[in-house]
Formats: sequence, structure tokens, C-alpha cells
Amino acid sequence: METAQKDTDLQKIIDQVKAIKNGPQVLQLYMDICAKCGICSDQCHVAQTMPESRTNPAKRSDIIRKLYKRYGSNWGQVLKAVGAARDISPEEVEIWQRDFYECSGCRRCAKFCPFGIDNSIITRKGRAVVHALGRSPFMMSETQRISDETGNDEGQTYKAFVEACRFLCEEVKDDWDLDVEIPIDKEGADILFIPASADLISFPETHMGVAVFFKALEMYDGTTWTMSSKAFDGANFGLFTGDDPHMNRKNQVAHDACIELGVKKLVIGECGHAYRIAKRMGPTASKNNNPFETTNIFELADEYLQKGAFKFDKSKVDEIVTYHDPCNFARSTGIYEEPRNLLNAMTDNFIEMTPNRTENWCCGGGGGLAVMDGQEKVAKLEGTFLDYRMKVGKVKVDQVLATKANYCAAPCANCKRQVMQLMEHYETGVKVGGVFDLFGKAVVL
Amino acid sequence: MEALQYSIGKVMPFFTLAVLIIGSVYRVWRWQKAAVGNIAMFPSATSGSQLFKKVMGEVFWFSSFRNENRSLWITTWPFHASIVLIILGHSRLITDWPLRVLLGLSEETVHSISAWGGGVCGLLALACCLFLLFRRFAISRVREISSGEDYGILLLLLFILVTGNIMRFYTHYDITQVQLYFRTLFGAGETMVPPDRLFLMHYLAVQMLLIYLPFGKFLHIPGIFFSRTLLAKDY
Repeated sequence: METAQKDTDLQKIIDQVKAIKNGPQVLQLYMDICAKCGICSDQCHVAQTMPESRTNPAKRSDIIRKLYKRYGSNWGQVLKAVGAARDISPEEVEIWQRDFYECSGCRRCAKFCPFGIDNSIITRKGRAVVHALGRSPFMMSETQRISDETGNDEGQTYKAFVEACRFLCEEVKDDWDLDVEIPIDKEGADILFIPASADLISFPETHMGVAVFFKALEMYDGTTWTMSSKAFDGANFGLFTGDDPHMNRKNQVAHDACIELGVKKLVIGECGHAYRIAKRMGPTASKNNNPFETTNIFELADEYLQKGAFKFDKSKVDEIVTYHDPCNFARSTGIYEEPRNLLNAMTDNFIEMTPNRTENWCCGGGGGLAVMDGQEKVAKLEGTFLDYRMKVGKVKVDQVLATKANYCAAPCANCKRQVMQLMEHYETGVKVGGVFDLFGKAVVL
Repeated sequence: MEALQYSIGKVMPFFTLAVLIIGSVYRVWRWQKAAVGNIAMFPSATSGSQLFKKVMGEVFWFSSFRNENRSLWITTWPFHASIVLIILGHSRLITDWPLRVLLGLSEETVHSISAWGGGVCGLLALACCLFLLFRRFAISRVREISSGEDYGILLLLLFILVTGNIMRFYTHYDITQVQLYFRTLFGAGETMVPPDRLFLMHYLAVQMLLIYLPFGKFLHIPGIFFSRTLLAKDY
């Protein structure tokens, strides 16, 4: 029985790989044109911190590429003879499960590849196949299950959500002595705000800052906002597991909430991949003919900043601040200057990391890896995902320490968790948070 | 020898051409018909002219690669550029340069351009090719992704460059025979395959390379136009 199951799994893999022949264009190209120059390995934080040859991006992509050449063409045997193709291995599923979850899909290699080969797309294809076989890491499939059940990745109930919002308003009062409110399901508001639900629980200061920001907006020109009790989580693991139906379902939830509440703008919070999906990948919320516009909190804030809507007391931010470009906000959606404008308006002690913007190093927690701590039923993984993340995050740690900053703004729930854990693990004493954590502190209302 | 001469010179060229053209067209056609997604990498091009500039910069100047890995660029760009020039130079074996007539150059001038330009390019390409081969062995991160295909192609190129250079610098091969051969191969008249062994080896290796083009990593030549466009386009 078990071997029969294994054989069907292997056959499914072969079928999925062969299907690349029918598109998309990008995958076909990436199968065909890699020249094996090896540049990607110099630019990948995993290859830089783990000596194993499987961490080489070109080698990881070869897992699929060599199968495609073997089974997807009539001359597979010839290509196999020259080493350009290979037979499927009995351990194929286990290899895919581990190797494609050792890539964070940050797209840094694509930035440097002479042909612009984006290995993250091959990684996502690999993960999609693993997911279709029901072998996604435990935390990944579990999060998707919870999200489908409750509408948010944390499995929060309506009551817990409302309670969290009320609590955060009290905290704002205590910490910054400001009266704010977080409206829920307010019909006819101008803006629907969707953060990563992790912000409400794990990174409350970001959400408190956001509440202050919207208060400032309202005081400036009467713009009103609301959150939705049905769609308060923009995170979407469908991007990470390659599970398009899940990604689309969750995108639909955001879309429906916008229509129901009649808002003019959908504003995504400090969550890079949520914005990438909402703006560029989702089937419904990303459409151009929606009655609402999809944007993110940085673009919105920068627009108002340029109008002179905010006054900041720079003395209140006593940290030396650096900024980490999350891969999905930076390389994948082009949000580079907006958060920097904000930070520069709030403090005189802003220092860039090197490299930055489009060339920034991944934190090591991208592609959903940041939420995984254990072995997550990934059979071949050596140690735990936490071990792995702390190892590959060394590049980021060095980069942050070189700036001598004591606050690293990383506006993405995944990056935040990963960088926070890194800073603790390496005992650097650097504080990690969002951009809006500082906004709440520095703004003068 | 007769039979070999006959097959390399009179049969294989048509096979080579057919495989090269049909194979490449088939590949490009398949890319062309596949669904295109938007996978733009930011900062991206926002208009057609910007996209054109960006893609051409990547293709002809290796622009982003140039900024990132200068030491490798210094060998790979001249490698590709000299090979392109060598291919252009070889065109005079087949046709009397329209460019020559247009510019009003004499045969002698073309000869000396060929001697100098071709000589320099041949040596440069050879040196770069040797370096690339060395790099593939020496750098462990490159070695671990190299397969027989990668080494094989470099060795084939090396063979072509070495035989070509020997013909140019050592045996001083007389190209009029080859010119005559090509003119009769595709035109009227009795085709005489030049009997020179070195030429035949060189010619055979080139044809092998062309036959392989639509099947392996050489697809990066047509592919780069597509993949670069995909990455840069966002509008």
C-alpha cells in the first residue's frame, strides 16, 4: 500500500513537471535558459551561510529543471547522458519538501542573474507540487486550514479581535497619552485597513502606531477608516505554499469586505506579501475595475507627508534607526522611498544598511519560513526551522550590526519575527519593530 | 576520407540548418504561445521605450551583471562580444559583404581588417573560454552545478577556437576554397568540399554546436530577450 502511494506521488510529480510544457512562459524559459554561471550562489543568503551544495539556487532549481528535461522532451535520455537531465528519485517528495522550503523566495538572485531568472518562481512551483501531495510543512497547511475556517491566520474570534482593538486603544492612551479609536465594520468609511493579523497579537505597537496615524489623517482632512471583523488579516499563505485556490479565496474575502463596507480605498498595513497579493496577484482585489483602489499604508502616509499633514517631535525618537527592505515590499512591489521619507521625517538618526533597496539581503524568514520553529514534519530537515533560520539570518545580523543602529524597522510580520529572533539569538541588543511604531511615538497631534 | 568529406561537407550542412532553424523556431513559438504573467521586479520599466532600453542594455552590455560582478563581466562580456564579431566575420565566407560594397572597401582592406580584427577576437575568445573552463573547475559553487553539458560545450567551443586559430596563425589557411565551397553549396555549380583536415574538423565541430543549440543551455541566446522583458515589464 505504501509503495503504491509512493508511486502515485512520483507519477504526480512527473505529470506536474511535464505540465510546464504548456506554460506559463516564465517557468518554461527558466527551465530552458539557465547557463549555470553560478552568480546566484554569491547573492543568496542561504548559499552564503550553508555550505551544502543543495543550497545553491541553480542547483535547487535543477531539481525541477533536470526532471523537466528528462520527462518533458523526446530526447530526455540523450540529455541525461550529458548530465542535463536525471531520473526521478524514490526520495523525490522528501527532497522537494526540504529543499524548496530552504529557499525564502526573496528574489535577490533574480536581481543579479544575467538572464533575470527568478528562482522564487521555481521554488513556488515546487512548493505547489508538495502541497498538492499533502506534504506541506505542518505549520503551513495548519495555518491555511485555520485561515479558511476563521478568516485569519491566528484563528482569532470576533470577540478576541474586538477586545484586542479596545486593549490597544487603551495602550495608546497609556503610552503616548493620545485618544484613538479603532473603528470596526463602519460602513461608508473612506478606507478599509487590513494588516497582518499577527500585528494585533505579536506586534501591537505597530498597530497602535497605525491607529494614531489614522487619527492624524482624520484630523487633517476628515478621512475616515475602518477595520473589518471579517477581513482583518491580509496575510495569505497561499503565496507561500503555492496553493492558488487558497490565495484566491482569501483575496476574495478582502474584496468582499471592501464592497460590503463601501470603502474607496483598500489599505494594506505593514505586511509585504499581503500587499503584493492584494495589489498584483489576487484575482479579485487586484483587478483594475474595482470600485475601490488598492494601496498600502506607506504610499498613503507618504502622500500625506508630502502635503505636510504631520508634525513630528524628533526628540521623541531617541533610537538610531535603520530600515530593512522586506522582499515583497521592495523587489516585488517597489515600495522603496515612502518608508524612508517617513523615517527621515521622524528622526535625524536614520542610517541605511548596505546593500539596500532592490539589493537588500533577505532576513531569512521570507516565504513563510518565519512562522516555522520546529521540524514541521519535514522529514529530511536537519534540526528545526528555527535552527535553519538562525543560521541563514547571519547575513542580516552582520548587515544590521554594521549600521550601529539600535532599532531596525522591518515592516513585514515575517521579517519582524525573524529579525527579532535573530537579534535575540545573536544577543545584539537591537530592537526590532515597524515604521509605524515610531510614528505613534513621534507624531504631534 | 572521401566519405567523411562528403558527409560533413555535402549532407550534414542541410541537416544542421534544418535542425537549427526548425528547433529554434519551435522553441520560440512555444515560449510565445505560453501564458505571460506579470512578475515585474522593481524598479521596473514603465513604458515601451524604457523597456526596450532596459532589455537591450541587458542583452548587449550585460548591464546589471556588469555592476554586480565586474571581475566576471570583464571575461564574459569580451567572450560573447568577440564570438559575435567572429560570427560576423565568417559571413564573408558565404557572401561578398554588402557592407564592403556599401563602404567602398577594397578586398585588401577587408583582408587586413579580418587579419587584425579576426586575429584579436580569436585569441580573446580563446583566452576567455579557457578562463571560463578554469572557473568551472576551480570555484566550488560553480563546480557543484556543472554537468557534462556545461563542460562539454566549453570544450567544444575551445576546440573550435583552437582549430580556427591554428588555421589563421599557423597554417595560414587559404579561404578562397571555402568561399567557393559555400557559394556552390547554396548556389549553382559543382560543390568542392575543401579537403583540409583542420578545416573539416573545425567545420564539423561548428555544426555539432549549431545542432545542439535548440536543445540545451544555448537557448539562453534567444531566451534572454523573453526573460529580461518579463522581469522588467510592469505596465
